[in-house]
Amino acid sequence: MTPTAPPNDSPIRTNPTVPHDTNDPLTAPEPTASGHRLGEPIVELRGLRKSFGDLEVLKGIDLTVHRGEHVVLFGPSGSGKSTVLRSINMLEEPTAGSLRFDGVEYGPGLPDEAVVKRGKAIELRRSVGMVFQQFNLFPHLTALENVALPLRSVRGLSRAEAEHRAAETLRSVGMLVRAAHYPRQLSGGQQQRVAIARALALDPKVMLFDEPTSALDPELVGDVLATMRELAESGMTMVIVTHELGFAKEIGHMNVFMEDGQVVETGGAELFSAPTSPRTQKFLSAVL
Amino acid sequence: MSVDRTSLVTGGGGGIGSGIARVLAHRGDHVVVADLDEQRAAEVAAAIVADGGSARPARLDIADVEAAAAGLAAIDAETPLTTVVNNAALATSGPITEVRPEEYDRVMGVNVRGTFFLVQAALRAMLPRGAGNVVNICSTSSFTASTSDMTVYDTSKAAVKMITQAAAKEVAGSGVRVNGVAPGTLRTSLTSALLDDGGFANLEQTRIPLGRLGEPHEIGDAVAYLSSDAASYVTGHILVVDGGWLA
Repeated sequence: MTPTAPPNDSPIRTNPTVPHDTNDPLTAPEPTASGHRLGEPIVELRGLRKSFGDLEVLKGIDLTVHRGEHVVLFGPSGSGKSTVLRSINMLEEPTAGSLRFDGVEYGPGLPDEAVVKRGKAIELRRSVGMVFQQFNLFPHLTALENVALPLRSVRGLSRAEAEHRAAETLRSVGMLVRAAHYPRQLSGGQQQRVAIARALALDPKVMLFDEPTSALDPELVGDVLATMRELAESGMTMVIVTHELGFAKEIGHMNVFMEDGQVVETGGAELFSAPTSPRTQKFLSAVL
Repeated sequence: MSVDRTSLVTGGGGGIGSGIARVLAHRGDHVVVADLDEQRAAEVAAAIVADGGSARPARLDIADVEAAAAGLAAIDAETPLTTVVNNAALATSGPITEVRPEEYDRVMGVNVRGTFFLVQAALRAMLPRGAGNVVNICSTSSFTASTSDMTVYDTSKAAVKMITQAAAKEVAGSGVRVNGVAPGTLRTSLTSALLDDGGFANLEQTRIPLGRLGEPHEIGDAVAYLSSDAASYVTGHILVVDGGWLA
Protein backbone atom coordinates (compact mmCIF):
# COMPACT_ATOMS: atom_id res chain seq x y z
CA MET A 1 0.00 0.00 0.00
CA THR A 2 1.52 3.27 -1.01
CA PRO A 3 0.64 6.21 1.20
CA THR A 4 -2.34 8.03 -0.20
CA ALA A 5 -0.99 11.34 1.03
CA PRO A 6 2.40 12.24 2.47
CA PRO A 7 2.19 13.11 6.16
CA ASN A 8 3.41 16.62 5.36
CA ASP A 9 0.24 17.39 3.51
CA SER A 10 -2.16 16.03 6.05
CA PRO A 11 -2.84 18.36 8.93
CA ILE A 12 -3.89 16.34 11.91
CA ARG A 13 -7.05 18.02 12.91
CA THR A 14 -8.81 18.03 9.54
CA ASN A 15 -8.75 14.27 9.95
CA PRO A 16 -9.66 13.31 6.37
CA THR A 17 -10.85 9.78 5.91
CA VAL A 18 -8.74 8.58 3.04
CA PRO A 19 -10.02 5.34 1.63
CA HIS A 20 -7.45 2.68 0.98
CA ASP A 21 -6.63 2.04 -2.63
CA THR A 22 -8.85 -0.94 -3.05
CA ASN A 23 -10.79 -0.05 -6.14
CA ASP A 24 -8.90 -2.08 -8.69
CA PRO A 25 -9.99 -5.70 -8.34
CA LEU A 26 -7.26 -6.86 -10.72
CA THR A 27 -4.32 -5.52 -8.75
CA ALA A 28 -5.60 -5.36 -5.22
CA PRO A 29 -4.55 -8.35 -3.14
CA GLU A 30 -7.08 -10.49 -1.36
CA PRO A 31 -8.86 -8.86 1.55
CA THR A 32 -8.24 -10.11 5.04
CA ALA A 33 -10.91 -11.24 7.42
CA SER A 34 -11.31 -7.61 8.44
CA GLY A 35 -11.86 -6.56 4.83
CA HIS A 36 -8.49 -4.84 4.40
CA ARG A 37 -6.62 -5.61 1.19
CA LEU A 38 -3.02 -6.40 1.85
CA GLY A 39 0.12 -5.10 0.21
CA GLU A 40 3.24 -7.20 -0.16
CA PRO A 41 4.68 -8.72 3.01
CA ILE A 42 7.32 -6.45 4.53
CA VAL A 43 7.93 -8.03 7.94
CA GLU A 44 7.96 -11.82 8.18
CA LEU A 45 8.68 -13.61 11.44
CA ARG A 46 8.94 -17.41 11.26
CA GLY A 47 9.54 -19.56 14.30
CA LEU A 48 11.09 -16.60 16.09
CA ARG A 49 12.52 -17.45 19.48
CA LYS A 50 14.23 -15.34 22.08
CA SER A 51 15.76 -16.40 25.39
CA PHE A 52 17.30 -14.38 28.17
CA GLY A 53 19.49 -16.95 29.88
CA ASP A 54 17.23 -19.83 30.82
CA LEU A 55 14.09 -17.80 30.33
CA GLU A 56 12.49 -18.21 26.93
CA VAL A 57 10.30 -15.14 26.32
CA LEU A 58 9.40 -15.84 22.70
CA LYS A 59 8.50 -19.42 21.97
CA GLY A 60 8.24 -19.52 18.21
CA ILE A 61 6.43 -16.53 16.77
CA ASP A 62 4.96 -16.54 13.27
CA LEU A 63 3.76 -13.16 12.11
CA THR A 64 3.50 -11.43 8.75
CA VAL A 65 3.03 -7.70 8.37
CA HIS A 66 2.08 -6.41 4.93
CA ARG A 67 2.72 -2.95 3.51
CA GLY A 68 0.09 -0.52 4.70
CA GLU A 69 -1.13 -2.91 7.36
CA HIS A 70 -1.77 -1.91 10.97
CA VAL A 71 -0.96 -4.74 13.33
CA VAL A 72 -1.79 -4.46 17.01
CA LEU A 73 -0.09 -6.69 19.59
CA PHE A 74 -1.87 -6.98 22.91
CA GLY A 75 -1.87 -9.24 25.90
CA PRO A 76 -0.86 -9.37 29.55
CA SER A 77 2.40 -7.97 30.87
CA GLY A 78 5.28 -10.33 30.23
CA SER A 79 3.55 -11.97 27.26
CA GLY A 80 6.44 -11.05 24.96
CA LYS A 81 4.69 -8.45 22.80
CA SER A 82 7.31 -5.76 23.35
CA THR A 83 10.05 -8.30 22.66
CA VAL A 84 8.40 -9.13 19.33
CA LEU A 85 8.34 -5.43 18.52
CA ARG A 86 11.94 -4.94 19.53
CA SER A 87 12.95 -7.94 17.46
CA ILE A 88 11.52 -6.38 14.32
CA ASN A 89 14.28 -3.77 14.35
CA MET A 90 16.82 -6.05 16.04
CA LEU A 91 16.91 -4.17 19.31
CA GLU A 92 16.56 -7.72 20.56
CA GLU A 93 18.52 -10.27 18.59
CA PRO A 94 16.48 -13.44 18.03
CA THR A 95 17.90 -16.64 19.48
CA ALA A 96 16.42 -18.69 16.68
CA GLY A 97 14.09 -18.34 13.74
CA SER A 98 13.73 -16.09 10.77
CA LEU A 99 13.23 -12.33 10.68
CA ARG A 100 12.79 -11.02 7.17
CA PHE A 101 12.34 -7.36 6.44
CA ASP A 102 11.59 -6.29 2.90
CA GLY A 103 12.89 -9.63 1.62
CA VAL A 104 16.19 -9.53 3.51
CA GLU A 105 16.98 -12.00 6.30
CA TYR A 106 18.22 -10.51 9.56
CA GLY A 107 17.65 -13.32 12.03
CA PRO A 108 19.43 -16.65 12.43
CA GLY A 109 17.14 -18.02 9.69
CA LEU A 110 15.17 -21.23 9.49
CA PRO A 111 17.04 -24.53 9.76
CA ASP A 112 15.77 -25.86 6.44
CA GLU A 113 16.35 -22.69 4.41
CA ALA A 114 19.63 -21.40 3.04
CA VAL A 115 19.90 -17.70 3.68
CA VAL A 116 20.69 -16.02 0.40
CA LYS A 117 20.85 -12.44 1.56
CA ARG A 118 21.64 -11.25 5.07
CA GLY A 119 21.35 -7.67 6.16
CA LYS A 120 22.96 -5.66 8.91
CA ALA A 121 20.95 -4.51 11.89
CA ILE A 122 21.99 -0.89 11.35
CA GLU A 123 20.54 -0.91 7.84
CA LEU A 124 17.35 -2.48 9.12
CA ARG A 125 16.96 0.23 11.75
CA ARG A 126 17.22 2.93 9.10
CA SER A 127 14.02 1.56 7.57
CA VAL A 128 12.13 1.12 10.81
CA GLY A 129 10.95 3.98 12.98
CA MET A 130 10.29 3.30 16.63
CA VAL A 131 8.35 5.17 19.26
CA PHE A 132 8.83 4.21 22.90
CA GLN A 133 6.76 4.51 26.04
CA GLN A 134 9.32 7.00 27.31
CA PHE A 135 9.88 9.67 24.71
CA ASN A 136 13.69 9.72 24.96
CA LEU A 137 14.03 13.29 23.68
CA PHE A 138 17.28 15.12 24.33
CA PRO A 139 16.45 17.63 27.08
CA HIS A 140 19.04 20.18 25.91
CA LEU A 141 17.68 20.32 22.36
CA THR A 142 14.53 22.01 21.10
CA ALA A 143 11.78 19.97 19.46
CA LEU A 144 13.10 21.02 16.06
CA GLU A 145 16.65 20.07 16.95
CA ASN A 146 15.53 16.72 18.35
CA VAL A 147 13.89 15.89 15.03
CA ALA A 148 16.71 17.37 12.93
CA LEU A 149 19.55 15.61 14.76
CA PRO A 150 19.09 12.11 13.28
CA LEU A 151 18.50 13.64 9.85
CA ARG A 152 22.01 15.04 10.09
CA SER A 153 23.71 12.11 11.81
CA VAL A 154 21.90 9.25 10.06
CA ARG A 155 20.85 10.74 6.76
CA GLY A 156 23.77 13.14 6.41
CA LEU A 157 21.65 16.16 5.56
CA SER A 158 23.01 19.66 5.99
CA ARG A 159 21.82 21.63 8.98
CA ALA A 160 19.50 23.74 6.81
CA GLU A 161 18.08 20.72 4.98
CA ALA A 162 17.61 18.82 8.22
CA GLU A 163 15.85 21.70 9.93
CA HIS A 164 13.59 22.25 6.92
CA ARG A 165 12.64 18.58 6.89
CA ALA A 166 12.21 18.59 10.66
CA ALA A 167 9.88 21.59 10.46
CA GLU A 168 7.80 19.88 7.78
CA THR A 169 7.50 16.73 9.89
CA LEU A 170 6.61 18.66 13.03
CA ARG A 171 3.91 20.33 10.97
CA SER A 172 2.52 16.94 10.02
CA VAL A 173 2.02 16.05 13.68
CA GLY A 174 0.65 19.48 14.56
CA MET A 175 3.73 20.47 16.56
CA LEU A 176 5.33 23.18 14.42
CA VAL A 177 4.02 25.79 16.80
CA ARG A 178 6.14 24.22 19.57
CA ALA A 179 9.22 23.72 17.39
CA ALA A 180 11.42 26.02 19.44
CA HIS A 181 10.36 24.55 22.78
CA TYR A 182 12.54 22.33 24.91
CA PRO A 183 11.10 19.01 26.11
CA ARG A 184 10.59 20.38 29.65
CA GLN A 185 8.30 23.03 28.14
CA LEU A 186 6.11 20.40 26.48
CA SER A 187 3.42 18.14 27.90
CA GLY A 188 3.98 14.40 27.75
CA GLY A 189 1.62 14.12 24.80
CA GLN A 190 3.44 16.86 22.95
CA GLN A 191 6.78 15.20 23.67
CA GLN A 192 5.46 11.95 22.30
CA ARG A 193 4.28 13.68 19.13
CA VAL A 194 7.77 15.14 18.72
CA ALA A 195 9.17 11.63 19.21
CA ILE A 196 6.80 10.38 16.50
CA ALA A 197 7.98 13.20 14.23
CA ARG A 198 11.60 12.27 14.94
CA ALA A 199 10.92 8.73 13.73
CA LEU A 200 8.79 9.83 10.78
CA ALA A 201 11.31 12.36 9.50
CA LEU A 202 13.62 9.50 8.54
CA ASP A 203 10.96 8.24 6.14
CA PRO A 204 10.66 4.73 7.60
CA LYS A 205 9.00 1.86 5.79
CA VAL A 206 7.47 0.60 9.03
CA MET A 207 6.69 2.38 12.30
CA LEU A 208 6.81 0.48 15.58
CA PHE A 209 4.99 1.80 18.64
CA ASP A 210 5.80 0.32 22.04
CA GLU A 211 3.00 1.36 24.40
CA PRO A 212 3.19 4.96 23.16
CA THR A 213 0.48 6.26 25.48
CA SER A 214 1.21 4.26 28.64
CA ALA A 215 3.30 6.99 30.27
CA LEU A 216 0.76 9.73 29.58
CA ASP A 217 -1.87 11.28 31.77
CA PRO A 218 -5.29 10.17 30.49
CA GLU A 219 -6.20 13.59 29.14
CA LEU A 220 -3.09 13.64 26.95
CA VAL A 221 -3.65 10.26 25.33
CA GLY A 222 -6.14 11.58 22.78
CA ASP A 223 -3.73 13.85 20.90
CA VAL A 224 -1.18 11.09 20.51
CA LEU A 225 -3.82 8.64 19.31
CA ALA A 226 -5.08 11.29 16.86
CA THR A 227 -1.58 11.64 15.47
CA MET A 228 -1.29 7.86 15.13
CA ARG A 229 -4.73 7.67 13.53
CA GLU A 230 -3.71 10.27 10.95
CA LEU A 231 -0.53 8.36 10.27
CA ALA A 232 -2.54 5.17 9.83
CA GLU A 233 -4.84 6.90 7.39
CA SER A 234 -1.86 8.06 5.36
CA GLY A 235 -1.12 4.40 4.64
CA MET A 236 1.88 3.93 6.95
CA THR A 237 2.69 0.36 7.93
CA MET A 238 2.40 0.20 11.70
CA VAL A 239 2.99 -2.38 14.40
CA ILE A 240 1.63 -1.24 17.73
CA VAL A 241 1.87 -2.63 21.23
CA THR A 242 -0.89 -0.98 23.21
CA HIS A 243 -3.38 -1.37 25.99
CA GLU A 244 -5.73 1.06 24.20
CA LEU A 245 -7.96 -1.66 22.86
CA GLY A 246 -10.64 0.76 21.68
CA PHE A 247 -8.05 2.35 19.45
CA ALA A 248 -6.81 -1.08 18.37
CA LYS A 249 -10.31 -2.07 17.37
CA GLU A 250 -10.60 1.10 15.32
CA ILE A 251 -7.37 0.93 13.31
CA GLY A 252 -6.05 -2.62 13.64
CA HIS A 253 -6.30 -4.61 10.42
CA MET A 254 -4.86 -7.51 12.33
CA ASN A 255 -4.95 -7.81 16.09
CA VAL A 256 -2.67 -10.30 17.75
CA PHE A 257 -3.33 -11.63 21.24
CA MET A 258 -0.15 -12.88 22.89
CA GLU A 259 0.37 -14.77 26.10
CA ASP A 260 3.38 -16.52 27.55
CA GLY A 261 5.64 -15.84 24.56
CA GLN A 262 3.20 -17.19 22.02
CA VAL A 263 0.59 -15.90 19.61
CA VAL A 264 -2.70 -17.20 20.92
CA GLU A 265 -5.12 -15.76 18.40
CA THR A 266 -5.26 -13.21 15.58
CA GLY A 267 -8.14 -11.46 13.88
CA GLY A 268 -9.71 -8.21 12.78
CA ALA A 269 -11.97 -6.07 14.91
CA GLU A 270 -14.16 -9.11 15.56
CA LEU A 271 -11.40 -10.52 17.74
CA PHE A 272 -12.48 -8.12 20.45
CA SER A 273 -16.18 -8.94 20.24
CA ALA A 274 -16.01 -12.66 19.52
CA PRO A 275 -12.68 -14.17 20.53
CA THR A 276 -12.50 -17.90 19.95
CA SER A 277 -9.72 -18.84 22.36
CA PRO A 278 -10.70 -19.18 26.01
CA ARG A 279 -7.40 -17.42 26.90
CA THR A 280 -8.29 -14.40 24.78
CA GLN A 281 -11.81 -14.42 26.19
CA LYS A 282 -10.45 -14.46 29.72
CA PHE A 283 -8.04 -11.59 29.06
CA LEU A 284 -10.62 -9.43 27.30
CA SER A 285 -13.27 -10.02 29.94
CA ALA A 286 -10.78 -8.80 32.51
CA VAL A 287 -9.77 -5.60 30.68
CA LEU A 288 -12.80 -4.53 28.62
CA MET B 1 25.00 40.56 3.80
CA SER B 2 25.28 41.06 7.51
CA VAL B 3 22.01 42.21 8.99
CA ASP B 4 20.34 41.04 12.16
CA ARG B 5 16.84 41.76 10.99
CA THR B 6 15.10 41.25 7.68
CA SER B 7 11.62 42.55 7.07
CA LEU B 8 9.29 41.75 4.23
CA VAL B 9 6.64 44.32 3.36
CA THR B 10 3.92 43.33 0.92
CA GLY B 11 2.41 46.09 -1.14
CA GLY B 12 5.74 47.77 -0.44
CA GLY B 13 5.55 49.78 -3.63
CA GLY B 14 2.38 51.56 -2.51
CA GLY B 15 1.72 54.49 -0.25
CA ILE B 16 1.50 52.92 3.19
CA GLY B 17 3.80 50.07 2.21
CA SER B 18 6.64 52.33 1.12
CA GLY B 19 6.21 54.34 4.31
CA ILE B 20 6.50 51.17 6.38
CA ALA B 21 9.49 49.96 4.37
CA ARG B 22 11.32 53.25 4.88
CA VAL B 23 10.77 53.28 8.64
CA LEU B 24 11.91 49.66 9.01
CA ALA B 25 14.98 50.37 6.87
CA HIS B 26 15.71 53.43 8.96
CA ARG B 27 15.82 51.35 12.14
CA GLY B 28 18.38 49.10 10.47
CA ASP B 29 16.36 46.27 8.95
CA HIS B 30 17.19 44.85 5.57
CA VAL B 31 13.84 45.34 3.86
CA VAL B 32 12.42 43.18 1.11
CA VAL B 33 10.04 45.48 -0.72
CA ALA B 34 7.49 43.11 -2.22
CA ASP B 35 4.85 44.22 -4.64
CA LEU B 36 2.74 42.94 -7.49
CA ASP B 37 4.28 45.80 -9.48
CA GLU B 38 7.97 44.97 -9.51
CA GLN B 39 8.88 48.35 -10.99
CA ARG B 40 7.35 50.20 -8.06
CA ALA B 41 9.01 47.82 -5.64
CA ALA B 42 12.35 48.49 -7.32
CA GLU B 43 11.85 52.23 -7.09
CA VAL B 44 11.08 52.09 -3.37
CA ALA B 45 14.03 49.75 -2.71
CA ALA B 46 16.33 52.02 -4.72
CA ALA B 47 15.17 55.06 -2.77
CA ILE B 48 15.88 53.25 0.51
CA VAL B 49 19.36 52.27 -0.64
CA ALA B 50 20.00 55.84 -1.87
CA ASP B 51 19.04 56.94 1.61
CA GLY B 52 21.73 54.70 3.10
CA GLY B 53 19.43 51.81 4.00
CA SER B 54 19.42 48.19 2.93
CA ALA B 55 16.61 46.94 0.69
CA ARG B 56 15.82 44.81 -2.28
CA PRO B 57 12.70 44.48 -4.41
CA ALA B 58 10.68 41.30 -4.95
CA ARG B 59 7.65 40.55 -7.06
CA LEU B 60 4.90 38.99 -4.98
CA ASP B 61 1.29 38.45 -6.01
CA ILE B 62 -0.44 37.50 -2.78
CA ALA B 63 -3.61 36.58 -4.69
CA ASP B 64 -1.64 33.62 -6.05
CA VAL B 65 -1.32 32.07 -2.61
CA GLU B 66 0.90 29.15 -3.55
CA ALA B 67 3.36 31.23 -5.54
CA ALA B 68 3.40 33.88 -2.82
CA ALA B 69 4.11 31.26 -0.13
CA ALA B 70 6.89 29.80 -2.24
CA GLY B 71 8.25 33.30 -2.82
CA LEU B 72 8.27 34.02 0.90
CA ALA B 73 9.95 30.68 1.63
CA ALA B 74 12.65 31.43 -0.95
CA ILE B 75 13.30 34.87 0.51
CA ASP B 76 13.38 33.38 4.02
CA ALA B 77 15.87 30.72 2.97
CA GLU B 78 18.20 33.45 1.75
CA THR B 79 17.69 35.91 4.57
CA PRO B 80 15.64 34.59 7.51
CA LEU B 81 12.69 36.89 7.99
CA THR B 82 12.29 38.51 11.38
CA THR B 83 9.26 40.61 10.43
CA VAL B 84 6.58 40.09 7.81
CA VAL B 85 4.21 42.99 7.19
CA ASN B 86 1.03 42.04 5.38
CA ASN B 87 0.10 45.33 3.85
CA ALA B 88 -0.98 44.48 0.30
CA ALA B 89 -4.68 45.08 -0.17
CA LEU B 90 -7.29 46.18 -2.63
CA ALA B 91 -9.97 48.75 -2.00
CA THR B 92 -13.24 48.98 -3.79
CA SER B 93 -16.25 51.12 -3.23
CA GLY B 94 -19.75 51.27 -4.57
CA PRO B 95 -23.29 50.64 -3.41
CA ILE B 96 -23.87 47.19 -1.95
CA THR B 97 -26.69 46.75 -4.40
CA GLU B 98 -24.19 46.93 -7.26
CA VAL B 99 -21.35 44.71 -6.01
CA ARG B 100 -20.59 42.01 -8.57
CA PRO B 101 -19.47 38.56 -7.39
CA GLU B 102 -16.18 38.81 -9.27
CA GLU B 103 -15.41 42.14 -7.63
CA TYR B 104 -16.20 40.65 -4.23
CA ASP B 105 -13.97 37.65 -4.96
CA ARG B 106 -11.11 39.84 -6.18
CA VAL B 107 -11.07 41.96 -3.01
CA MET B 108 -11.57 39.06 -0.62
CA GLY B 109 -9.05 37.01 -2.61
CA VAL B 110 -6.32 39.54 -1.94
CA ASN B 111 -7.30 41.06 1.39
CA VAL B 112 -8.47 37.95 3.21
CA ARG B 113 -7.32 34.82 1.38
CA GLY B 114 -4.04 36.37 0.30
CA THR B 115 -3.31 37.73 3.75
CA PHE B 116 -4.30 34.51 5.48
CA PHE B 117 -1.99 32.35 3.43
CA LEU B 118 0.90 34.75 3.66
CA VAL B 119 0.48 34.75 7.43
CA GLN B 120 0.57 30.96 7.21
CA ALA B 121 3.73 31.06 5.09
CA ALA B 122 5.35 33.50 7.51
CA LEU B 123 4.48 31.30 10.50
CA ARG B 124 5.81 28.21 8.76
CA ALA B 125 9.09 30.05 8.29
CA MET B 126 9.26 31.60 11.76
CA LEU B 127 7.90 28.87 14.06
CA PRO B 128 10.88 26.54 13.62
CA ARG B 129 13.10 29.39 14.83
CA GLY B 130 10.71 30.29 17.63
CA ALA B 131 11.07 33.97 16.82
CA GLY B 132 9.55 36.56 14.53
CA ASN B 133 6.84 39.12 14.11
CA VAL B 134 3.89 39.27 11.79
CA VAL B 135 2.13 42.60 11.45
CA ASN B 136 -1.07 42.75 9.45
CA ILE B 137 -2.29 46.07 8.20
CA CYS B 138 -5.94 46.26 9.16
CA SER B 139 -8.05 49.39 8.99
CA THR B 140 -10.43 51.46 11.03
CA SER B 141 -12.86 49.47 8.85
CA SER B 142 -11.86 46.45 10.91
CA PHE B 143 -13.83 48.06 13.74
CA THR B 144 -16.49 50.24 12.16
CA ALA B 145 -18.10 50.53 8.76
CA SER B 146 -16.79 53.13 6.34
CA THR B 147 -18.86 56.17 5.55
CA SER B 148 -18.48 55.65 1.84
CA ASP B 149 -20.10 52.49 0.48
CA MET B 150 -17.21 50.12 1.10
CA THR B 151 -19.02 47.03 2.36
CA VAL B 152 -16.71 44.53 0.69
CA TYR B 153 -13.56 46.31 1.81
CA ASP B 154 -14.89 46.74 5.35
CA THR B 155 -15.82 43.07 5.48
CA SER B 156 -12.36 42.06 4.32
CA LYS B 157 -10.59 44.25 6.86
CA ALA B 158 -12.74 42.93 9.69
CA ALA B 159 -11.56 39.49 8.64
CA VAL B 160 -7.92 40.59 8.67
CA LYS B 161 -8.39 41.74 12.25
CA MET B 162 -9.65 38.30 13.23
CA ILE B 163 -6.91 36.51 11.30
CA THR B 164 -4.48 38.57 13.36
CA GLN B 165 -6.11 37.83 16.70
CA ALA B 166 -6.76 34.15 16.09
CA ALA B 167 -3.29 33.50 14.70
CA ALA B 168 -1.72 35.39 17.61
CA LYS B 169 -3.53 33.21 20.12
CA GLU B 170 -2.78 30.02 18.28
CA VAL B 171 0.97 30.61 18.17
CA ALA B 172 1.24 32.43 21.48
CA GLY B 173 4.13 31.02 23.42
CA SER B 174 6.00 30.00 20.30
CA GLY B 175 8.11 33.14 20.33
CA VAL B 176 6.29 34.50 17.27
CA ARG B 177 3.99 37.46 17.82
CA VAL B 178 1.17 38.52 15.50
CA ASN B 179 -0.24 42.02 15.67
CA GLY B 180 -2.05 44.51 13.50
CA VAL B 181 -2.07 48.20 12.74
CA ALA B 182 -5.32 49.90 11.83
CA PRO B 183 -4.69 53.08 9.87
CA GLY B 184 -7.32 55.75 9.57
CA THR B 185 -7.50 57.86 6.46
CA LEU B 186 -4.16 58.58 4.85
CA ARG B 187 -3.30 60.19 1.56
CA THR B 188 -2.21 57.24 -0.58
CA SER B 189 -2.86 55.93 -4.07
CA LEU B 190 -5.83 53.99 -2.67
CA THR B 191 -7.48 57.10 -1.30
CA SER B 192 -6.21 59.79 -3.65
CA ALA B 193 -9.22 59.55 -5.94
CA LEU B 194 -11.54 60.09 -3.01
CA LEU B 195 -9.39 62.82 -1.54
CA ASP B 196 -9.15 64.64 -4.88
CA ASP B 197 -12.75 65.44 -4.17
CA GLY B 198 -12.09 68.48 -2.01
CA GLY B 199 -15.37 68.11 -0.17
CA PHE B 200 -14.52 64.57 0.94
CA ALA B 201 -11.03 65.60 2.05
CA ASN B 202 -12.44 68.44 4.12
CA LEU B 203 -15.11 66.22 5.59
CA GLU B 204 -12.53 63.62 6.58
CA GLN B 205 -10.28 66.21 8.15
CA THR B 206 -13.04 67.77 10.17
CA ARG B 207 -14.03 64.34 11.48
CA ILE B 208 -10.49 63.51 12.60
CA PRO B 209 -9.80 64.82 16.11
CA LEU B 210 -6.15 65.51 15.30
CA GLY B 211 -7.38 67.61 12.40
CA ARG B 212 -5.29 66.16 9.60
CA LEU B 213 -4.82 63.09 7.47
CA GLY B 214 -2.25 60.55 8.55
CA GLU B 215 1.14 60.03 6.95
CA PRO B 216 2.47 56.64 5.82
CA HIS B 217 5.52 56.88 8.08
CA GLU B 218 3.18 57.08 11.07
CA ILE B 219 1.90 53.64 10.14
CA GLY B 220 5.52 52.57 9.75
CA ASP B 221 6.29 53.76 13.26
CA ALA B 222 3.46 51.63 14.64
CA VAL B 223 4.71 48.60 12.70
CA ALA B 224 8.23 49.25 13.96
CA TYR B 225 7.01 49.33 17.55
CA LEU B 226 4.94 46.14 17.29
CA SER B 227 7.80 44.29 15.61
CA SER B 228 10.36 45.42 18.17
CA ASP B 229 11.35 44.00 21.54
CA ALA B 230 9.66 47.04 23.07
CA ALA B 231 6.40 45.21 22.30
CA SER B 232 7.57 41.87 23.72
CA TYR B 233 4.37 41.50 25.78
CA VAL B 234 2.06 42.53 22.95
CA THR B 235 0.40 39.98 20.71
CA GLY B 236 -3.01 39.79 19.07
CA HIS B 237 -3.30 43.56 19.38
CA ILE B 238 -4.58 45.92 16.71
CA LEU B 239 -2.93 49.28 17.18
CA VAL B 240 -5.25 51.97 15.83
CA VAL B 241 -3.41 54.86 14.19
CA ASP B 242 -6.18 57.16 13.07
CA GLY B 243 -5.73 60.58 14.63
CA GLY B 244 -8.41 59.74 17.16
CA TRP B 245 -11.10 59.05 14.58
CA LEU B 246 -12.40 55.90 16.31
CA ALA B 247 -12.25 57.42 19.76
